[in-house]
Amino acid sequence: MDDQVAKWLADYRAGDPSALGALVEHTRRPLFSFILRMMPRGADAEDIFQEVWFKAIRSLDQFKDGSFHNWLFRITHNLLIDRSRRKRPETSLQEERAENMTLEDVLADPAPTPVDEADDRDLGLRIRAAVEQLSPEQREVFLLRTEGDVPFKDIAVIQGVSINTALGRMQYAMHRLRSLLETEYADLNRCGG
Amino acid sequence: MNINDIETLVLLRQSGEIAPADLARLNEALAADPAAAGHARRLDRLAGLARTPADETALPSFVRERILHEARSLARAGEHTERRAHRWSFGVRLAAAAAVALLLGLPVLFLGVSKTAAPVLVNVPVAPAPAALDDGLLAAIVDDGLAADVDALRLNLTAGLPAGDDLALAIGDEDELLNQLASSLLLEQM
Repeated sequence: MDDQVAKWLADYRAGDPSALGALVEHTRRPLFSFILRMMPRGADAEDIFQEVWFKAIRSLDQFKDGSFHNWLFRITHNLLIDRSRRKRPETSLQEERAENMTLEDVLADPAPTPVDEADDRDLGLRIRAAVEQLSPEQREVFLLRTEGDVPFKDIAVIQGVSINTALGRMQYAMHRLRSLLETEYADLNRCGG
Repeated sequence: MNINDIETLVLLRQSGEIAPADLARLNEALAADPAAAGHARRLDRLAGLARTPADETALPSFVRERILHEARSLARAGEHTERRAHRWSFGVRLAAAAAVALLLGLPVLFLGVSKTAAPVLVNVPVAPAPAALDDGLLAAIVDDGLAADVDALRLNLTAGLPAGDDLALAIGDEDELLNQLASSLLLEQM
């Protein structure tokens, strides 16, 4: 476990509430972005982030060792599974996005444009829209890696599969993204990086 | 090395899980195959661009406040639980003493005193002979504040009590557990 995270945990367990605030902020970006990308609506992402932390606080005595970061993602995975069992996934091509563009608008560009380094954000938007087309398992693996920076061995534990299966899902996800993005993917090489 | 193997190793390299020997093999394969090298670069770039920009992951402050509030509520509830656990441990100690008495074949004596020191009475199916009453158990009962002293306790339990007489059980305000234990253990004895 990261030394700083271990210290914050120890301080929080000793009764220092500010240590919890530091832990929340430390994990905010990877955890919240993962949830944000797994869910079709931002409002739900805030609720889920909150609920993940409620569960973590209540079961903190069960966390002994290992990566606290990955333990949080395990809680998140289980919470998302519970939620998906209560309601059907609502991602559709006609779903309106925050930018007032439908997914179809973003993906089905009839005139592919050359990739421009200055438009990385636009390309990122296209990639993120394409990720929503992935199957739930592939999307989760992809986002755990790219947003959560969770290693494959821990992704395997979270999803309850072998590491080879986790790697396989990531490869399938990459193949699917390549087929969805086509020209943009080919131009990634010309952009360097 | 085929393209699937290269992809697998690139993914493991991205996650930091690639073994040194595999990293060497991958570098060798990429150096020998420009197409494979280009594919590996695109995979790296795709992973990087897929990441949500930091400015899109801001969290409203009220979410953080709710989390901290929940932690404070749990901490307060935990303190209350600890105080209640201390009260229960008294009854658990007495239950353990009674269980030991049962194992030793002694009649189970349940004594409870009210906070106003009302008479201590016990429900026993058979009045024990004085010699059969274990001094250690009587002392433990006195130590726990359930009776005034060992001799008075022994006298009360044995002198002038016909066998099988039922005596009332006086229960203090914290002794509902003792009452339940008394009922269950005496039922076992019968």
